[in-house]
Amino acid sequence: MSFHIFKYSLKSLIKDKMALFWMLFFPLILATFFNLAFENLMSNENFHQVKIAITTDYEMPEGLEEAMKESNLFIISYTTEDEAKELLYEKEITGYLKNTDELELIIFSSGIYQSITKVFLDNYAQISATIYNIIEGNPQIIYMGFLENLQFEEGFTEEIPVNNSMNMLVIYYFALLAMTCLFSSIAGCYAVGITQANQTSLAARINVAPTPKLKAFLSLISATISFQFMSALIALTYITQVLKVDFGDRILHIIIICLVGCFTGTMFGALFGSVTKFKAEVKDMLVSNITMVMCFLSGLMVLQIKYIVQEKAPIIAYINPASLITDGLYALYYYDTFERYYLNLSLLGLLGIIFCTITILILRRQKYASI
Amino acid sequence: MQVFKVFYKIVPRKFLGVFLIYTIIFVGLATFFSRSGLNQTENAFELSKVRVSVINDDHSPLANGLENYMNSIARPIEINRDEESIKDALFFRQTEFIVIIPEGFQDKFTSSDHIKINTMSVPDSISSAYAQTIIDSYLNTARLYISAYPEMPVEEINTRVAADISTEVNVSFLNIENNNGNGLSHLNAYFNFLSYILIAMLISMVGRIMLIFNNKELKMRNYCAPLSSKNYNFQLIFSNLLIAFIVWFVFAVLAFVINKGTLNQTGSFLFLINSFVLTVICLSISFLVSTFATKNSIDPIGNCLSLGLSFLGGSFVPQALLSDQLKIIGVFNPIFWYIRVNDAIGELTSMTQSSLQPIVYGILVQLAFAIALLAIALVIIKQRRQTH
Repeated sequence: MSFHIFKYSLKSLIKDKMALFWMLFFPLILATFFNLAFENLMSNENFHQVKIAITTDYEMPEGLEEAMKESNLFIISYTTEDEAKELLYEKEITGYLKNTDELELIIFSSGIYQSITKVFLDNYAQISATIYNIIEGNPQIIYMGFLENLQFEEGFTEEIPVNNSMNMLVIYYFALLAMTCLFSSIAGCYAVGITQANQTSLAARINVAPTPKLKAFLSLISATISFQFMSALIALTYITQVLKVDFGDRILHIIIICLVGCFTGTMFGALFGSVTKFKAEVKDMLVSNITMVMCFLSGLMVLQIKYIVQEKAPIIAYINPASLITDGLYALYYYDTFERYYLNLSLLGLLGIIFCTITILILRRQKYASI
Repeated sequence: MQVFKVFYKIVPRKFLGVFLIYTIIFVGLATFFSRSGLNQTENAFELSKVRVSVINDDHSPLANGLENYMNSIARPIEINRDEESIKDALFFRQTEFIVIIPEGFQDKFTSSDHIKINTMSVPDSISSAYAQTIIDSYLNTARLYISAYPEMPVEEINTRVAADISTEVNVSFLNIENNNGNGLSHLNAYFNFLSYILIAMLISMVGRIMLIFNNKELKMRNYCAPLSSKNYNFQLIFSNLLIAFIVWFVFAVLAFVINKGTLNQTGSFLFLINSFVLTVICLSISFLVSTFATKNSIDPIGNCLSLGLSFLGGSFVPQALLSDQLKIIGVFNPIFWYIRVNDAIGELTSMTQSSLQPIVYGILVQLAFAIALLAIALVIIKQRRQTH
């Protein structure tokens, strides 16, 4: 009997166009948009030489032009100041240099090429200042071979490798996957609706059937979880295989956390449905909005939110299923150890079990004298 | 004015809730964007704002000098010392460069086997290369002084190095206005983000009301009324325009409430004009959607359109970072034009003919979109009527 209910609720879910859209196609569409929009965001832009103009009205400081040419960072053109202004307005050049009383860089707006130029010129000015100061304080030093042994190239730092999986944008996809799993709350809420006889006429019909309520409820819920799990798997396959987003190679662990996520999501919806007494429409809207807020807190819209929540209000990160899923996936992707992943996974499962227990306790032995 | 009256009876009853929810969410997000400094125009590109965290284990004068110097020219970020905090902070780019000065650094500084400073950073990032340059030039200069004046105390060397190294080349901006942080970038981000909310909201409100009016039975009833269909349509269009105007007005006012002191800037009224044109486009889109959508499908369609058009148009991600393909496709996307005009306004420095030209052109293109979409919708509506 329970398989019968399971089978038909699964069928009705698949035939429900709205369910199919929100639970399956919406995540896929969103993933495609993410992919299109972020395509260029993280790829390191190729470095182009900085186009710079030198005004010929005054002489440049000694050695600067040679240093600029040697560095291979710049494409230098020589113009008058008026011409340079014109070029700058049309954004043909990054900036121009003039040397009236002292060296000056004129730019239009700040940015990376402007900064590179400034750093280069600063460096030049600093080294000149240092040499000048030293020689001024101790002129004999020139005769001791000081200028020949000048060294400015020594490195004092050593990089500790962090991790190559540093693509911040995967958080968007993790949060998206969390959303896909948690959308099952809508179906979970619906499933509770059709086991409570005072909610829908379908529920009244189900209640008069001789199947025990717990059995009916559990079959309905497992159909929901299975359907959602399939959607999550499709979304996962689409994101990793078609869009080629790299999620790391621990695919089994990802699948497990998705499954637990679907369970917790469904149970959250079920709990919400059994605790609140709104019309079905209002319930649907509330559940989906709450899910969206959870996903927002886990970084679906602005990914830094995840970090901010984690730092400022860790409690929210620990009780928000969306954060737990996102963080679990993140831990898998970024960390070599599994501790954090298992912590998230068990908290997520624990939440699901708590939701489930409360729901069953509420639904248990509900009888309706008259409807 | 029966149609108008009915229209405004439906609105508060059915859509006040939608309106309020959208407004609250949007205001929350917009405030968040402008307060937290996460706004999109400021991305990791400005080197002077590299986020650096220094963990100083040495506490010697030299190490302290280096730490103070780093903190004074970059943006210092406090982080916890445990490995997890460090790793998380790096991943989310909370800090981009972590410097760990080991114990005994100063003692071994001048000897040949000096201890290296450990750094952690986002791989291959330009900002970390920049931070590294800063450290190296500080220490190279310090070593130069030490070799020139072996007797000088480290504190003295620190002050000298700091003085030398703070020598900077003068940088000036060609346009003064752009330089003094006039808050237009916040406004720019706000209005870019607005495109998403306007489409989503107008499709969900206007589209739904139009669905009610497009109901076949209701329509047939209305056509028998002694009200010319011209008059009927006119009232309907007027009501829709009015509701769109109200929505636009609310968000326009909010823009200047959230970003205080921007109302009298040069670009502000251009933002207003542009966003009003956008409102008209959104209205046309909702009209078009309501001709073919059904009660159940309007939400999915609205969601896909609002997210799709704004994602691909650059409301969330700066347009400059979109891929080339997307920029080509963007020509067919009215939101793309809207954002482009917004960004042009944000960069506007003076009201000259040449600087205004792209803005006017972009607005005209948007108007053309609005008219074209409206025309298509009207053709469909007319054809429907004839087939009834």
